[in-house]
Amino acid sequence: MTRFTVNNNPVEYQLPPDTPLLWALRDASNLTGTKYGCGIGICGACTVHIDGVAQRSCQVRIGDIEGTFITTIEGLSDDRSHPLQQAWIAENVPQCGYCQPGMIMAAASLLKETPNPSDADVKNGITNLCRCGTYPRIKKAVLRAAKAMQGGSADAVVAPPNTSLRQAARQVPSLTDPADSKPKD
Amino acid sequence: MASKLNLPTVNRRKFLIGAGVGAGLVIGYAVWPRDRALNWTAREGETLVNGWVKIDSSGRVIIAVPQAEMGQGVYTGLPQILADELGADWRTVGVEPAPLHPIYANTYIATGMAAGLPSMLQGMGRWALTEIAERYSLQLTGGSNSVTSYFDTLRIAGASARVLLCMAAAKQWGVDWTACDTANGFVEHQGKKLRFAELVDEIDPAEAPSNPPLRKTPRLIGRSLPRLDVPSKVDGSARFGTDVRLPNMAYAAVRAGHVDGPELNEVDSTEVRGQPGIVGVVEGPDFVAVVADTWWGARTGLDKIKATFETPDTLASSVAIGKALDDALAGDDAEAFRDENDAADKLTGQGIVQATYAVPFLAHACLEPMTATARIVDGRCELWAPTQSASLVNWAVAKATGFAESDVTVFPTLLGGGFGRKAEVDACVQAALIAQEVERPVQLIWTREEDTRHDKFRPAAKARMRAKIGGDKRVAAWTSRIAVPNVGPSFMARNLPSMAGGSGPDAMALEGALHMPYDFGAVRVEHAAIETPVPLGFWRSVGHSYTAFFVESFIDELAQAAGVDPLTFRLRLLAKSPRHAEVLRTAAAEAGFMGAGEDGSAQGIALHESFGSIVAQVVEVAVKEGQVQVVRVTCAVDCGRVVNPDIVRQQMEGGIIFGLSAALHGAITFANGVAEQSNFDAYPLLSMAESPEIDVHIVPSSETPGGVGEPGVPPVAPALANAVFAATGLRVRDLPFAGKKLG
Repeated sequence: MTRFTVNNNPVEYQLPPDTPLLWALRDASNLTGTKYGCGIGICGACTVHIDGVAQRSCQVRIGDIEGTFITTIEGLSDDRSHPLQQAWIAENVPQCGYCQPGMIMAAASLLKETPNPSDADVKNGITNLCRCGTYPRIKKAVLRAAKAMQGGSADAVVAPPNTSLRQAARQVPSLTDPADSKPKD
Repeated sequence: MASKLNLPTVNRRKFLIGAGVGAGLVIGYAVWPRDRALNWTAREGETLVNGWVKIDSSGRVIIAVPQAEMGQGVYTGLPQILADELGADWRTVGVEPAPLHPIYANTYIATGMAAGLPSMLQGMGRWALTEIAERYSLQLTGGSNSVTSYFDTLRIAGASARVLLCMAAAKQWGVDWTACDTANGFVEHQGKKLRFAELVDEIDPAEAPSNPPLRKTPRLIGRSLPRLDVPSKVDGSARFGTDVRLPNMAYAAVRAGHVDGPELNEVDSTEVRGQPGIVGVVEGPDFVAVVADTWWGARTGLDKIKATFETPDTLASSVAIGKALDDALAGDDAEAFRDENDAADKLTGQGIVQATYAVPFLAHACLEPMTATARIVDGRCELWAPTQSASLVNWAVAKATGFAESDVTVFPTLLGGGFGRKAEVDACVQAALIAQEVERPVQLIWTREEDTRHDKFRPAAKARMRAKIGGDKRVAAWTSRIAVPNVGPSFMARNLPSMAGGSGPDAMALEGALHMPYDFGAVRVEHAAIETPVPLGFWRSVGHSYTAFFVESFIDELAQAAGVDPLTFRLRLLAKSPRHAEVLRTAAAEAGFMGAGEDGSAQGIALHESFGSIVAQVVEVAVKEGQVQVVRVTCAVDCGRVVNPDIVRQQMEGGIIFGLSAALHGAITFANGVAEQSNFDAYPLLSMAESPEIDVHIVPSSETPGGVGEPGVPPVAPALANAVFAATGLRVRDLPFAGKKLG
């Protein structure tokens, strides 16, 4: 059995070595953010990072990646704080959303290689497919994230996941944490 | 509190809707259902204020959405309407998919109120009306009508909830409730404020007034509020149909036969059964499935299955279908659905222009393939699916499995694209049958190849257009004959067989070609129907997807023949259609419309109304070495009153790219009963590198809200063809552009 690391956790799948990484991630690790779209390496919905480089995980057999470090969308950040995720929200990119994890992983890899991309760098560098037609916004979001990463300050436009009710109530006056409120007369 | 669940006995109410949404229009609306308990439930700490909104003890507002979220933003736009009237703080709003219940019926479809509703939907609506008392109402997401259909209901539901909260606060303060108002999640009266959370225990749904006052000035409607689904769609946590995970769940892959789904004949599964990881092989009525511990195991197992299917009487063939379309254009069986001022007789003498156009079959190609997850437990069937109609799924799964409809529960998930494909029940029925047989929860995912080969396709169509240019350089007579098989009866035969009509000529096949905004001297529009073994389905914008190409390409040809520029030519014909003229002028002005440019660059324009909205687009192309590059698309839209402008822009952008993908690349062909394309190598989608810059301009309007999910699609193909003509002088009359050398 081959061993490698997924989102910083060591894994050893009890699966045939010719199993594509995509299906090991989805069906053995329940990391369902990585999607199946075509199975032939065209659409890019299954894009993950292998040792930091974006790859179509439907085209990578788990037997061939001994000792590598895999990062999926779930491991890109644990609180949606990656500048790309924040830029995606700021530009209101997703429609159905199915391709977006793969898009973000492709973009993250692109920005590592090309921290200050041109329009053409983005358009030619991301070959993933989006059926809803979010391409114009993806391009804007990647350029926005690149700028944020250069300047060091990302957008912060939504609360992170697992925000507690108490934290939320501090921001939103109409919310109240029932545990805090006094019992009624 | 949850105990108020047991209080569902207030009479069904009718509300009078005031002027602005149709004076005197009375719509039936249930705050609480009359004869069936509400099946939307409150969890601990939540209070059902009415059938559309719950408020919990922390102040969170949870709104029921009976339409499928497939990217079009309905999980944001619909709650936004209710939250506006309620006076909620948007940051506290969440959504839940509504269960199947008559109060959530799509009234727009169910009453067939709207003019121009496709005849198939009108038929479905009439049926829904008669059946409504006995069984579920129809919940169906399609026809771009979510906002149109639910706008009034959601406003009233929000206003009604607001009044109840004001009444509860007024009681505490000892004031008149009509002097209270709500804002940002509080009830307010002269400086006094109480949170919704502090009042929701005190409300009495029985006091809800029959005609709650509606806000005169909107606070949330008309604003680009953030989409509620977006955060979960950037971190992988959004749950699509393929992402459902159940304890002890197995995975399935299926294969069916020819495109029309013949019966399964013989299966040899000796190489698969009993192999490690294989759970079972299931022989369905018209499919074979392999079930395994992982989907990859199921998919590779399927490759080792030898299966034969009954050979259909007629094997689908693009050559035969093309000939049938040609014969229909030339034959005598066409029926006119519009015939004014003897148009056909006027096509004599000088100034006659004629052209024939063609479009191919198209697949939906949702990026999430067809999928469903089924569990049989305690004599019930539970089904999770990305579906555009939980109603249709409920009925079909009950029928196929033998469970009572009340013993089938459908949990709608997010859709990884829908576009009409996921109004079909095929994968849901398969998943339920497979789960029944293997006695384990099963997630079925179709391979991309299965998804493409067994789509329900946008039909191929051809049109013969004829017109006479008058001495005034306008259109003295216009005739069109469109040959196309009928989508409606094909859909109905599969999904509502008791309602299926004949496949003869039908006005629905002409939608978009029948009622045009242009003032022609005389008009005749005919449908010539053909039969085809290919199953047909609703494909984003349906008939408009081809009629706009025929009409708006031909208008451009007429302008050319008349020697008038395409913009002026159209505007002269739009004297009686001021909304359309304004949209066209806006697109032209924003694009700086010039027609032909230099160095192979040029612009083309097109205008089309569909689903209650008017869209004009200017496409700018550069043609170099015979290849077309789409540089920019400028879009103007009048979709009536706008709920969320940025979602309108998103839908226009998406519609344009969806339409360009089809115009440039899309074609499905059939040979020997099977689709010849099966994956994105042979059925390419538009890439980011090919994607143009897009500018969207919303024309301000206070008209009834129209649709936005589909209307962005139809104009782009003709605008592209018109641009290519302006650039090269070559007129492309058959789609797609792929493989054509332009000069």
